[in-house]
Amino acid sequence: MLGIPDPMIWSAYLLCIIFSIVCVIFGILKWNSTDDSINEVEDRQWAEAEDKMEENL
Amino acid sequence: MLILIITVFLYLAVIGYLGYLGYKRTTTTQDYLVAGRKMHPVVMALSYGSTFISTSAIVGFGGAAALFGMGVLWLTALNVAVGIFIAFVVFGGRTRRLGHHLNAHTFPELLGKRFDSKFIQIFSGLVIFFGMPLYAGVVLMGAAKFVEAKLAIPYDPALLLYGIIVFLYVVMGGLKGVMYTDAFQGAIMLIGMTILIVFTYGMLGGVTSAHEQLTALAPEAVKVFGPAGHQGWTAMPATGSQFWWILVSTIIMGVGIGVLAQPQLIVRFMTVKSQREIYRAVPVGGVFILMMTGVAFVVGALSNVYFFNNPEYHAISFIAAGKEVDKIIPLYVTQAMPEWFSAIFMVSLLAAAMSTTSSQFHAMGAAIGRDVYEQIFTNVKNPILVSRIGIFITYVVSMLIAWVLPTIFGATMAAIIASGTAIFFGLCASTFLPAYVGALYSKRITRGGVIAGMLSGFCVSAFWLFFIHAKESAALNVCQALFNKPSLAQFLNDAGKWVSYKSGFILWSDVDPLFVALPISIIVTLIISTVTKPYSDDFLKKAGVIQ
Repeated sequence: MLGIPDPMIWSAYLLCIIFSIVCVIFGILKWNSTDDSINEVEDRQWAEAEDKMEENL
Repeated sequence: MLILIITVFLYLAVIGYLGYLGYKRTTTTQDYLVAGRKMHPVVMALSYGSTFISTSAIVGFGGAAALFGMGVLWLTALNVAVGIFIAFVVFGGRTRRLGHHLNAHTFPELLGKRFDSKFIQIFSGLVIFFGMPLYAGVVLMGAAKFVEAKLAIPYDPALLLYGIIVFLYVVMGGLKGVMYTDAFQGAIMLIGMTILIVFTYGMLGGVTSAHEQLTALAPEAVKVFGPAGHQGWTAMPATGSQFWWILVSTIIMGVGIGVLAQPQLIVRFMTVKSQREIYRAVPVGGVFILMMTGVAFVVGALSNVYFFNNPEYHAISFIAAGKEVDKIIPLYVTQAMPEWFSAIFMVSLLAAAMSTTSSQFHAMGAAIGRDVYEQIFTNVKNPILVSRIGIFITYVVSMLIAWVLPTIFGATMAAIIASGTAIFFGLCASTFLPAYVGALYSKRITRGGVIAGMLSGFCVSAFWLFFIHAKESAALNVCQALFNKPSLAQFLNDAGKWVSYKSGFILWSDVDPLFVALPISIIVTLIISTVTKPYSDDFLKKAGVIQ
């Protein structure tokens, strides 16, 4: 298949493409899944601490 | 040359502008901290992808594909299935929730807080601080190898040139982790690799024709690498042969699984706003990884056809590049591609190296400052200085590693960049993976179990590298000094050559450390966890493991 005789190679070739297509389909199906954002207080606390760490670096 | 200078200059100007924009936004509004993270999923995915994929994947593993053939594509399949799908869909959301709940900002901190152990945090920080310079070093090396080929200058000044550019980028704010800059770099890489695959297949008469020509070259591969198990570039190496073990245990499994426990990638999930954003990033991530690694590996393998058909070389890639695997992709791009493309490709590599190294130095600086220094000395006087000195030290060590690796391993190890990356990925998987999975999914994994698992994974990996896995142990010379042989798993045969002990199809001195260290680490974590006291429900509730 595709000029490749060894099934272990052409299957890897096809699997790479198939897995990528699965990723695309998954993303489209889940595009509008529930938005489980973290609560605003926790999120703000985390973001502020993260910013402080970034400053230190 | 003029095209090259203009392209590089334009690229650096855009990076500088994006960096300035990010800087301006962070300083003008407080709300940016939260609002700014409502990143477009495409930006998040490209940023993750450009951090994941470096010059190591393109130059190092592309070169490995020129040597081992298209079997390396199994790594691409794993990269997409494990590195993107499982990492994003299975681990991503939980990591984000746990990280926020525990107010953790680095991977060691996540583990340390989850298991309520300073030791876990400090030890993880030290593993990153001392282990990651190897990975950063080979990333720098991959970029320098291309500069060497493109500008036709020796390796050392090429490395210095690239090193200085990366250093300036890091110092001038690359560490801020501006996602837009990463995403821009990801987009450049995507364009570069798309042109590369289209040109390569086009030049060789289409997909099937190109593969057929590569298949027809099999006798050339067997002539050179036959004794090691090579059966052609469109076939897997003979099962149980030396090439098979390197390809399967080190290149495919080591890196394919190791990606799950990469500290600089795990922290990316914490910066995302919600699970939905992670889901939305999956398609871009999957296609991006396919276009990076898949293209590099296919082009690497097909470079054999180009060099063999080129009367100037009339040899397989390995021979054409002077037996330097890491030089194959740079040589192919500069010789086979149009002049204007090699300028774009060089910028793509610059982008790949910059986005990865900046996150590596970020991880190493945070490891030594936040995870080690601040944990050991409770009365912290100057954490900023410690992190900065830490980053400077790791930068110097990474440059030294990139400088000495070709000399130390030049004769013994064919694919230096790929091997260096695989060592670090394997070390991370063996040390961190059971703890990470336990942190996210288990109520029963205990502090004792995690500490024992991490120590055993780390120690077995180190022992295997120094005393068993011949590729490293022979070059490191410790085994030679202590036991007078390059590897404990080898003996001197009648022809006076060191060969591996064999049990069935297992070639012991070629089995990757990951194959032994990860199972041991998992078993030790489980056993010690069952015999030690579990965490109380109160603690688990506080840690955010149970509601």
